[in-house]
Amino acid sequence: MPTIVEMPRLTDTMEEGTLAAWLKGIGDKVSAGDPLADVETDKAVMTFESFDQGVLLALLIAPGDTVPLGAPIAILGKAGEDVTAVAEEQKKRLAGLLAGGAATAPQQEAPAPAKKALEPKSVASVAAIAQPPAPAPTPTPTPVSAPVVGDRTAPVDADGHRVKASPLARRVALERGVDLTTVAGSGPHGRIIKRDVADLEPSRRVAGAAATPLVREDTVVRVSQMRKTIAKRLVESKQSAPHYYLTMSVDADRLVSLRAEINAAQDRLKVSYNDLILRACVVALMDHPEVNVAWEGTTLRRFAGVQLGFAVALDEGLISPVVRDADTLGLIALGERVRELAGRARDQKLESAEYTGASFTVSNLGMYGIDHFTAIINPPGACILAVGALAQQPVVKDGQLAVGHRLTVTLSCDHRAVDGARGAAFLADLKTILEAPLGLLL
Amino acid sequence: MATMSFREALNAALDEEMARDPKVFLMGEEVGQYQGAYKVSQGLLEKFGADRVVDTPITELSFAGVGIGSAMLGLRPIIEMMTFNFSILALDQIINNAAKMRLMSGGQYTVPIVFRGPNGPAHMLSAQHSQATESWFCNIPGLKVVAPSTPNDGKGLLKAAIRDDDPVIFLESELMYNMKGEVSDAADYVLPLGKCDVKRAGKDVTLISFSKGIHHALGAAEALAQDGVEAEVIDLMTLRPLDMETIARSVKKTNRVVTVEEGWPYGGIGAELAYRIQHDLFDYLDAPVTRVTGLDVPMPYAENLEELVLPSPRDVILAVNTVMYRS
Amino acid sequence: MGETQTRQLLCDAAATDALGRDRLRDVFQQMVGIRRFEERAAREYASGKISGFCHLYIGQEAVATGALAALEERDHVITAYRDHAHALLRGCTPRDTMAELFGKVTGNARGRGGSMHMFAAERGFHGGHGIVGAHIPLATGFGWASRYEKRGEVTLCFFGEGALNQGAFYESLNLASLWHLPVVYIVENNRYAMGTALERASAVVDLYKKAEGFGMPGVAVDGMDVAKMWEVTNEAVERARKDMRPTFIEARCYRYRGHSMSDPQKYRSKEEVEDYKQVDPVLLAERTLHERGWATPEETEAWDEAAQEAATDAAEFANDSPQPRLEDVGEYVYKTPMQWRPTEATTPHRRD
Repeated sequence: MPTIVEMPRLTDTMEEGTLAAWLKGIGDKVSAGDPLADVETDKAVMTFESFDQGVLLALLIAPGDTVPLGAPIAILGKAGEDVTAVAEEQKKRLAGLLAGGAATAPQQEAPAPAKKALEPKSVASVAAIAQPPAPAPTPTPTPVSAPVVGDRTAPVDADGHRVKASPLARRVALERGVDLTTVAGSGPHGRIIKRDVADLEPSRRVAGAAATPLVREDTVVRVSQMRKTIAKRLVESKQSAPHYYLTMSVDADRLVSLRAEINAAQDRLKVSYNDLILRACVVALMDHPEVNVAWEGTTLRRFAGVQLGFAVALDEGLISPVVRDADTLGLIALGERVRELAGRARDQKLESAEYTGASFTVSNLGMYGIDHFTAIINPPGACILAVGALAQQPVVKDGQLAVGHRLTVTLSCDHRAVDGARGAAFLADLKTILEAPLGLLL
Repeated sequence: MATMSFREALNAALDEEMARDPKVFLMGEEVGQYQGAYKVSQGLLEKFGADRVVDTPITELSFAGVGIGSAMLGLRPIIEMMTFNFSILALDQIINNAAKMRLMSGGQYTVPIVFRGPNGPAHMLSAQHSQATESWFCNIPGLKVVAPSTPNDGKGLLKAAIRDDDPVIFLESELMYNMKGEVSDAADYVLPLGKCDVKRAGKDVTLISFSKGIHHALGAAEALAQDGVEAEVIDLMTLRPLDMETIARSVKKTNRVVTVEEGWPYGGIGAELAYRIQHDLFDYLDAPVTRVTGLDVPMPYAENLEELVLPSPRDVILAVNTVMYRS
Repeated sequence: MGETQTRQLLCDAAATDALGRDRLRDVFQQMVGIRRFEERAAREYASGKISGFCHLYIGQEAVATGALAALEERDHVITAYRDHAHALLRGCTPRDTMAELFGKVTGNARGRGGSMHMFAAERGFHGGHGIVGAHIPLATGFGWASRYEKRGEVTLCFFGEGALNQGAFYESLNLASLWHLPVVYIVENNRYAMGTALERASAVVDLYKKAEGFGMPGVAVDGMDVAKMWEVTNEAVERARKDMRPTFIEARCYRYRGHSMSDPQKYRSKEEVEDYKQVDPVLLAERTLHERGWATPEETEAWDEAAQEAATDAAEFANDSPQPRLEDVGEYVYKTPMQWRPTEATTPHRRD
């Protein structure tokens, strides 16, 4: 059984060796400890003393050759032993190693691992080391609305400048829902410090809605301060405002044909059913100022104009931008304004004034095929209209069964501000307007 | 309680521990016949004999090593550095042998040794005899580092250091040896290593220091109180390992930190404290952690320059004003 | 090369008489065990199983083997970083020594020390030290502890001739003589401090003469002769035990391998190495055994084979042993293991 002599590691740092000279020739007897070859390492030319004994039967490399550690370089065996086949095999293995591949390494052990020190650390991915089994990460809540709150990360003001705040001030702002962009810092270089946020009046605090998505599997996610605010406000609304609900089915055949005509007649805006419904609400509210109100405990606020909120679904949740003074806008202008606000809502670029203070809100889940639903009032406005899907249905017309377009709307009203009859009168007018929709163009 | 000087309190600790355990011995330059360069070992030679109060030649490296070797075989040596300025000659022994023997041997050795002596700037001794060494020792895993600020703490902590099974660097102060204070005379009065002490309670700002620096901090705190600012003063007592719990409790309350030390700023104790506090308590900080340190120069001899280099209560007050945003 | 060159290739006759048949048979087997172990270590190093610094004892076997044969169980041994032999002679097994070289938890220092830091505290082997000369004060401290508690123990302290120019050497020998400490200091003068020849580093080349400066006996001995090594050490150990007097021994020896594994050995000629191989300490002992009829060639052959097998077994054991557990990285720093806080900068993964 011949012995394969491999390129030894003669220094701690060498990864390959260059043969300087063979110190024995073929046919020479070699004892353990005999100098076998001079090898040039990364440090110097060093003498390689054999670990094994036998007769030198084959030399696999020549002076000047550079081979990696563990590569076969010679064969020792008994005098006269035929090692032609073994030599061929080892030459193939050597060629493989030199080519950088593992090659065929038959019965031999795998080549010695080279010293690791200078190799780049082989790591599957940076991400794999970036997060060792650390404590469960605390998700940083992403504010749905843009330049808002005392998040842990440095907020940015409307001009894109980093807001300077002490870590403690940020934490206090986060807890209290204070918008740091509205706070003047009294510390060095305008740094916001604890005392700047600790005693703020409530109007400086952030309103608005945000949501954190829940992932497929049950995961306990720490809710954002925004989300907590939304929850609190919805509970407050549902618990403090005595809700009642009015539902009505609307014949939408003319709405359908009108929309088609409008969109055929102009290119400025592809009018949607939602645009028509929003405009219908504005028209109806102009006739019913007693519904465009807010309950304020000891007083009732009657809004000067229609501050029309509309719910927008985002990946992260829901937000209701507000079209200011919607009663001053025509159908097309209203539709454009709605798109502009919805677009910025999706980009999380709304300012807080743009999603607060709705006098009336419309929530449309028709695109999801919802027949009808009831919505929770979005304060300060006293009413919210929930819009179901516009769909073809079997209808009775003049005693005949026919196919018609129908739409179901449900009005949620705060009974403290809007009595049942008033709500009903508003809804009835809304139905009339939707069923004879030409007035929407006026 | 009895009133005694720092020197006497340390002497009492040595006396009690040597009487308690025959494996304890004191070795160093001039500790015996001369009665101690600073008289901390006064009377011990007469009481315990020359085998246990051992005068050495001026060879810090070798008598530090002799102490470590004897500790490896189970003795409990107390090695006096006449001053810690001379411990630099023994640093190889302290770092490479005392601190590492347990690890290098896979846990086969315990090295229960105390290196003690005066540390820190003194008065008009120029650069080689007037410096703070604590941050060097604190860098070394395997060592514990203790620096008391009062006679009472000194006694309780020195006894604890002698009984501890790890190598302890016990840093005294030449300028405090004469300081008097009430010292417990309880039969077995020992303070725990690794615990801070709140020397003064307050709610507005946390001052963290040790050894002589505590007295700068307390002086500043008194002056600040006149001005309506209540500073909490934490005495680290053990510099390594650090008692972060006590520090965290204070910082959560005050949101502001000033560290006070006489050593150089680069890589100093304040640097480590600032790192740990910003890391562990980031959300509780209302201002950057601020350090008061000695100036970044070797100690000059001239009195006016020395005074400029060393921190003072006034420097502490200025730092407090900064972290409290007071102009 | 001096005296070794001219004398016959046998151990000193008088010393051999004093050592006796049984002890010569024992020390020969120990030397062969060390030789085969070190050869195996070299081979494992070449194959990448052992890394870092690895200083082999090949050529110097007679020094530690002869000296340690003069000790009692209760005595102490400490040496520098060329320490595999001292470990094997004093309580460490080939298995736990090889495992330490491999960085395995089954090593005699649980994989914390490596080649330079072998320990068997319970058996009085106190390392394995890497800073030249810095363990000489520790040995002096062992002597001090022996005196302090009147234990009657003796310490052997080995170091290379490179350490003789360090301050720690002078300070320690002065203290040992001043305080009457039972320590025997043995310089293993293998003529090269790494690559610097003795005469290029020391103004005095008869090193034993340095003892005079400390007021202690100094003696030079042929460190290739295990019997002579035993005899001289035995005398010094008795002096230490009975008279509480230290001794300084200069053991003149030679290492056949480089200083460490990556030493190209350009500072000496191949002829010089070959010359010294004529007085190989293992061969001298073997010839003496055969000459005196204290062992047959068959016996010495069998001992050699057993040594080979032990070395092979040790390598297999080391290879199959586990590495230390990562979670134990904070062990052995303080008596109470450190509690790593994941938020601290000092965590093993530095999770900042």
